[in-house]
Formats: sequence, C-alpha cells, structure tokens
Amino acid sequence: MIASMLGSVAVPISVGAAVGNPVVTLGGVPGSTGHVVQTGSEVFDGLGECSGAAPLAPPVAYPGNDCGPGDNVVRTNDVVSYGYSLGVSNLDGPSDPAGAEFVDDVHFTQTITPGSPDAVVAFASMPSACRTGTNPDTGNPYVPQSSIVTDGSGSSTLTCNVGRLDGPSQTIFLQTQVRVDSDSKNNADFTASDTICETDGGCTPVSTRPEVTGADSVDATADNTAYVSAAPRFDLAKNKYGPNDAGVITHPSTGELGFLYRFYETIEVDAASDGKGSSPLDGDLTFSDMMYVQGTTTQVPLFEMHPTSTNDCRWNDHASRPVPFGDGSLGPAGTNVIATGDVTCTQSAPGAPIDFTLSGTDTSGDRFPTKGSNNSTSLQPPYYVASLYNYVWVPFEVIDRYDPAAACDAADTAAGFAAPFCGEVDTVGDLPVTNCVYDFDPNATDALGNPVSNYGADLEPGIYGAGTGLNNCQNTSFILRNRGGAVKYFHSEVISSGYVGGVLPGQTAYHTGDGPIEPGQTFATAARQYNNGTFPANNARLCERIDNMTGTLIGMVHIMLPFLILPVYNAMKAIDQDYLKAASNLGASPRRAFWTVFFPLSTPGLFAGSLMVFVLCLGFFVTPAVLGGGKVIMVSMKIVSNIELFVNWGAASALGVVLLVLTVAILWAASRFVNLGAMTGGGH
Amino acid sequence: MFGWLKKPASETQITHGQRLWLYIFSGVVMVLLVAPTLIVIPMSFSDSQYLEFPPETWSLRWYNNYFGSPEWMNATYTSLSAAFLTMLVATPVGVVAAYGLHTSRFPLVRLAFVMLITPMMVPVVLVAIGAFYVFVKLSLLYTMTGLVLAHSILALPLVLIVTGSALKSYDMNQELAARSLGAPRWKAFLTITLPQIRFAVVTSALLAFLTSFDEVVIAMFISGGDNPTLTRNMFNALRDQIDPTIAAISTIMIIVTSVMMILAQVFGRGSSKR
Repeated sequence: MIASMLGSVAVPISVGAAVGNPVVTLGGVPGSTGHVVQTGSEVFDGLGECSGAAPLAPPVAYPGNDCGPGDNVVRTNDVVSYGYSLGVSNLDGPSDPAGAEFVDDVHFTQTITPGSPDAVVAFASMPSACRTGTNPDTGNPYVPQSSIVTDGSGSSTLTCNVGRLDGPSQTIFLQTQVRVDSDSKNNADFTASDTICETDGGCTPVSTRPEVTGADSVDATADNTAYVSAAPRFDLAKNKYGPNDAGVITHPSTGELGFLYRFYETIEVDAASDGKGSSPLDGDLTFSDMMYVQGTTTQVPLFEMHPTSTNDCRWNDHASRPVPFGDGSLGPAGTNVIATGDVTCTQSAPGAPIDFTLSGTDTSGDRFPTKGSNNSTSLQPPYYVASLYNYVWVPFEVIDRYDPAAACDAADTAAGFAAPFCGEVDTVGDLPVTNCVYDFDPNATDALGNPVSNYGADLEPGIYGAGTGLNNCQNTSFILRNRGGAVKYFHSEVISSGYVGGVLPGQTAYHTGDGPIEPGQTFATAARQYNNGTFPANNARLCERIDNMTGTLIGMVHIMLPFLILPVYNAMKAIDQDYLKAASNLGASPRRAFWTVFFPLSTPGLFAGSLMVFVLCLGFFVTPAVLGGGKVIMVSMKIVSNIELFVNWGAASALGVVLLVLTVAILWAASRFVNLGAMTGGGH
Repeated sequence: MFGWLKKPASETQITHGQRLWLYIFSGVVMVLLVAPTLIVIPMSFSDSQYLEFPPETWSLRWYNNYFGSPEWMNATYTSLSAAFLTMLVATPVGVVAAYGLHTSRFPLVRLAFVMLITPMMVPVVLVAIGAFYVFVKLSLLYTMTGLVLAHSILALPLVLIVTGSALKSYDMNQELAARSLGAPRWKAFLTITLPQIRFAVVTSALLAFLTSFDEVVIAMFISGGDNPTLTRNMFNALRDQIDPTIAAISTIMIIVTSVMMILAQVFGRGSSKR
C-alpha cells in the first residue's frame, strides 16, 4: 500500500557561483530533487482498504482520501521523503588538465518550521551520505558535523556535511525523511528552508518555500505541496442504542417529571487506517458532551445526568472484545486497547456540559487494531475499543416550553427561561435535540501542558456553528403528548445529506478510509454517525441474507407448525381404527381407505388447526420484525410503529380494531363448525 | 436386514417400505423444528464478534459477557421476578375461575369462558397497546406491578384450560360427598378437589411462568426504565446490534424453558396416570 506517489520533481537549483572552482550546485541531476510524499497509492474502498478504484478528485471532493494518485494529503505518520542531489562541476571547462579541484565540507542544511495550526514534524533519518567525525581527506574534523536538531519551538534542522566533492563533475544524492507526528493539527502546515554551504564560499539560501500547505494539487512541475491531515489517534463516536432506552423518570429530589434517555459514546480506533493516525494512548483522555437544540448552538437548559442511576458513566462491555494488534495478530480474548481505565463524569450544573475523564488507561503502546476482530478484511465495523453510556434527564417543562416562534414574557424570564424556551406550558411539546461529543482529546497538550484538541479550535467536529462538522452529534427528538402519556421518539438520522460518517462537506481532511454514502441509504436498523468516517454497514450483510419474505415465512412456519400438528393429531387420534379395518375388509386399498375414510374424519382437526394458525399469524410481530429486516411489514408492526414512532393513536387504534374484528369474525365463523375450545395455543 | 420394510406397519397391511417416504418426511420436519436450537447453541460458544455458524474458534466469552453485564443481569432478574409473580397471581385466579366455571349453573358460563380465554386468541399486540394506554393513566408503566398484571392476563387462559380439563375428568360427587358430611365448600375444595387436580395446577403454574418469561411484545411496551425484561432487551439487541451474547442468552433460555416443559410434562403425566 505504501508506494511512492509523486513523480520526483526535477528543478535544478543553481547555488550561484561560489568563490573559486569548482561550482557546487544543488540538484544537478534531473529527477533527483524535491520531495516525495510516500503515502497510499489507491482509493480506500468501503472497507477502508485501498481498492484500486479510480481516485476521487482531490482535494475538495474527498479530502480524506489517502490512497489515490494525486492525493496530496500527508497523513500523520506518513513520511515526507526529500531527495536532493548535490553536484559539483568544473566550470573551467575540459582544458583544466588536473581535474583536481575540490571543495571540502560541502554541507546542506534544511530547516522545517511548523506553521499554524501546528504541524509536529521532525526529520526521521539522517541521509547515509552525511558525514560525522574526521574528514580523511584533510585529517580535520568535519565542520560542521552532520546533525538533526529539533528545537523547543518545534522546528527541526538537518545539517548534512557531505565532506569533499571532487571535480570535474560529481553528484551526491541525499535522501531524508520527515515524519508528521500524530499530534499535528488538522490542516497544519510547515515550511522548509534550505541552504547549501561550502567552506570557502559561505552559505547560499537555496529556497524557502511552504512545504505543506493548502489545497494545491500536485504535479510534477510545481513545488510539491500537500497538507497535513491529522487524525486523532483515538476517535470518539456516538452510537444509537435502541429506541426504547428513553423513558419517563421523576426527579428524585424535586419530584419533577422528566425524560430520561441513555446514550452511548464509543471510543474507537479507526480499524481501516492501518495504523496511520493511531498511536497509543499515553495519558488521560477527556471529552465533553453537550445537548443543543437541533440545528442551533442553543443549549438545552436544565438537562442533567440522571441523579440516581447507578449506571451513570460506566464502561460498557464492548471493551471485552479481542484486539487485533498492529501486526495483524489477534490478541487473546479479553484484551483491549483500553484494557484498563476508569471513567468519571461530572456536570457542574444542570444544562452545563458533561465532562468525561478516562484515566488509568493502557499505555503499552503496541496496541491498535488494523483489521476486523477476526483479522479478516471482510466487512467490519469500526473497532470498538471501549464505550460508555450515560443517562441524561431532561425536565418535561423544557420539552414542553420549546417553541422557536414564541416570544418571552416576564413570567418566562422569572422562571429562568429564555428563547426558544418560552412556549406555552401545556404538556405538549417536541424538542429536537442534538447530542454532541466534543473536545475529544486523547493526548495532545499545548505548550503549557493543557489538553488541546487534535482538530484545532475551529475544525473540531461536533459542535454546531462556526463552520464545524456535525458528525459527532446525534439527533434525538423528545416528544410529549398529553394523551397516552409521554411517548418516546428517538431517532438518528443523516444530519448532512450525502454522507454518513466520512468527511462532511465543508470540513477539511481528517483521517478516513471510507466512501461516501448516498443520501437516504440505510444500513441495518441503526444509523450510526462517526466523526472519522468509518461507517460500518456491518449489519447490511446480515440483513441482506435474511431480509425477505421467504425468511419470514420459514420462521413463521417453524413457529406455527406445532399449532397445526396438535389439533390434527388429536383429531386423528380420536378416529376409531376399526373404520379403516372395515374399509380394507371391504376391499379398499390402504390409499383408498386413507383418502375416503380416515382423511375425511380428520378434517375437523385440520380445519381447526389451520384456522388457529391463520388467526395467530394475523397478529405476528416478533418474527417478521426480526427476520423481515424492515421490509416485511405486518399489521402488528404497523400498529407498533404508529404508536412508538409516529405517536398516532388514531391510526393504530383503527388498525387494531380491524385486526380484532377480523380475528373475532374468523373465530366466530370457525366456532360454528369446529370446537375451538378444545385447542390451546399462544400468541407470538 | 431390511426385512422390517416388508412387514406391515399397521393393521391395514401397509408395509413399512410403503411408508418409508412418510418416515423421511417426518424426519425432515423434525429437523426443521429442532434446527434453530441446534444452530443457536454452537453459535453461543463462538469466539467471533459476530453470529457465526459454525464457529471457527470456541470460547465462553459471550457467557462471560452475559453474566458480567449488570444490564443483562438486571433484565434477567426482572424477567424471573415477573415470571414468578405472574405464576403466583395467575395460578390461583385461574384455578378459582376454572372451578367456578366448572361448577356454575349460570347460563352465561360459556360466554364467561370465552371472555376469559380471549387474551389467548386476540393478537397480543392489541393487549400490549391496550395495557400501555391504561398503564400510562394508572402510572403503572415500567413497574413490576404493571408487568405482572399484563402477563397474568396472558397466562390466565392457559391456567383456565389446563385446570378446566383436569376438572372435567374429576368426579365432582366426591366434593358433594364432603359437603354433605358437613365440610364448608372452601374446605371441601381445598382438601378433596385440589389435591386431586394438583398435577394440573402445577402444570398450569409452570405454563404461567413460561408465558411471562417468554413474552416479548407486551414487555416491549410496558417494561423498561429500571424494569426491562430479558426478552425485551434481547429483542432490542437483536434489532440494533447483533452479537453472540444473544445466542448465549438464547441457549440459557432454551435450557430453562426445556427444563420447565419437561417438568410440566412429568407432572402432566402423573396427573393422567391417576
């Protein structure tokens, strides 16, 4: 997957005439200078692997794409490879008989300086041609000695003394690598400045150029530009968990009624990134969670962590899955990237963000997943490293009051509410909420040691407004109805059409390995959103297999078979065997005896059993819901969705009455022919 | 060796050979009936993160996951309590109802019987939404009381039918004799009738337990909050995230259910032998 992506750039740069002969030039050989970003060579497919498909047009359409030719994104832990040639040539021409001109201590320096936002970059290797120690040609130490110096401000300087260059013509190739550390911020850049010096000629600046900067496409003639895509090493994703995990809870201290809903936060490593952008967790991990009114930056007032729930802020069992390590081997069951750890959550006041801190985490540094949990490259979800969940309680009054159109009066203000929470208090309301995770930050700290985000202040996904991404958020609606009590409505949707996960429009690169997902496309029943674009679609495979009428029918037949067999068996058992004997005594063949004597006598049981099965099947819910994959909709499911999802008691009741009348009518009609009381059964 | 094929299978002179296709067909049906069980149990011992059959590697991790999860444990506790309480509520009520229907000369007795077994015939989703609506009004939503009430409604018809059929084969004259000897009616029932139908009562109690334990649809509506039932959580988990914990729980449930059914059979047989 790692391959040289860029054609080498041949821009010989003349140092200019130095004093004396010969002249030293930088870049004497075409095709040997410039820098090369070594990165992926193909497009990531939906599995996060390079698929070999045509690349998406960089950088705007899909800036996170890391593996196509023409990609100019430098990944964290990618290597930016610089190649230079230093040449010496004798400009006096061939008439010089001796050809003995030489220069000593030719040295090349390159300084890379982080721009803003910061790229954390450093030279990763010393070119083999760089000398240290004593020059055998002169017997004196090399001046200067070759070195790599990284100073406190983050810039890194390579000094490379190549020693003596002889005339009439000699070329030395230098190759060095710059590694972009994963602490780099998104869209970071850095600048490189090069000089070349010789002992008797002083130093000449070769060039000063932005090395890694904005969205310039790469070609062989322009200066090589690329920009840094800094993924957080661990990524946080929110995950829906079931529509029924919301409920109605009375506040234990005030007695106020409120809406309780549980959410998951999943901390995971991008399984598709092949180690890139993933480095070990070596410190406390913090992040915050906040609730906003959907589509705004308005915070939801008064929401709080559920005051008494013992399940607050708890690591979930997902952490018990085995970890494929960086080398592709599968860790023993029960080992985790974050094998240890303790999570605490605090909320300073109702309505304030909930701050999470994970401490005591694994620091061994060799653990990150690269493949699916069984080391397969087949369709896999992002790897769950650990997850936690928490309960949030929202007062009904807040849901009730939400009304963007309502004006605030003195009473609202007195009650402590401001727009848009000034609507009528009438136990009816619909509050669209977005629950966002932000400030997720595994390791990065600023100069003072305070945690900062990998994304930088204005690029971090997860907070509404200010041109930020939305994909760390999850939409939820809390709906109150004054009939039928509080009815829950919880859904997750594609916030920005066109992408689920992946890189959102308007958001610049961060690490991703996934393709765009069409608007309206649904994978499985749980829509998930991630901020690093590893949308799993794992259930799609399972659904495809069983998502049909046939599967539902097989399942229903399987469950219903005993309900038919029992009455038929009872009816047959009651038939006097002497009839059959009489029939065969009168010359009937066994087959004829069966069809003309036995079978007609057993029909009441068959009839009753069939009716029973039909009636019971009318009300089926669980089997089609599980096996139908959302495509086989039976009346019961329609009734349930009318109530749970659409809060439409009228429609549900009408369907219910139809179902009931149908059932009763069939049973009544049947009871005129067969004795139904003798049968037993149960509903499914 | 295959001589048995030529022997008659019944008094109608049909040989086993002629019936061979029937045996094969019956075998296929039996396999169909048992197959899901045979698939679920191995899957629960899989080491894979996904439901996988046959499993490539084996482990007990999903059982570990189940027993180590407070959520699942809480749900299991809720289910077991609800089932036990349902048994305690539905069995006496059902037995008394069956006794009443059996002895009553009231003209509308048949109608009453039909009314009482209605919950078994009516699609359970209708019972569920009805219970949901009423329980919201009565503040019984997500409470154990509500769950037990609703499940008792479902279990009642089973108790009624099982106990009722036992009463039919019981000679009421014995109780009449006791009463004519001066025993009050309740005493005659408790000391004469009840001991003789006790196997049916135990069977119906077990069935009531199972009815509640296996029930999903009603639980989906009226259980939740601090009292989610196991089946409800399983259904949600199956719908939202498929992992082998479900298979592990299913295996445990299959075992529990089978044991209960065997117990019911054993007691039922005891009853019929008498």
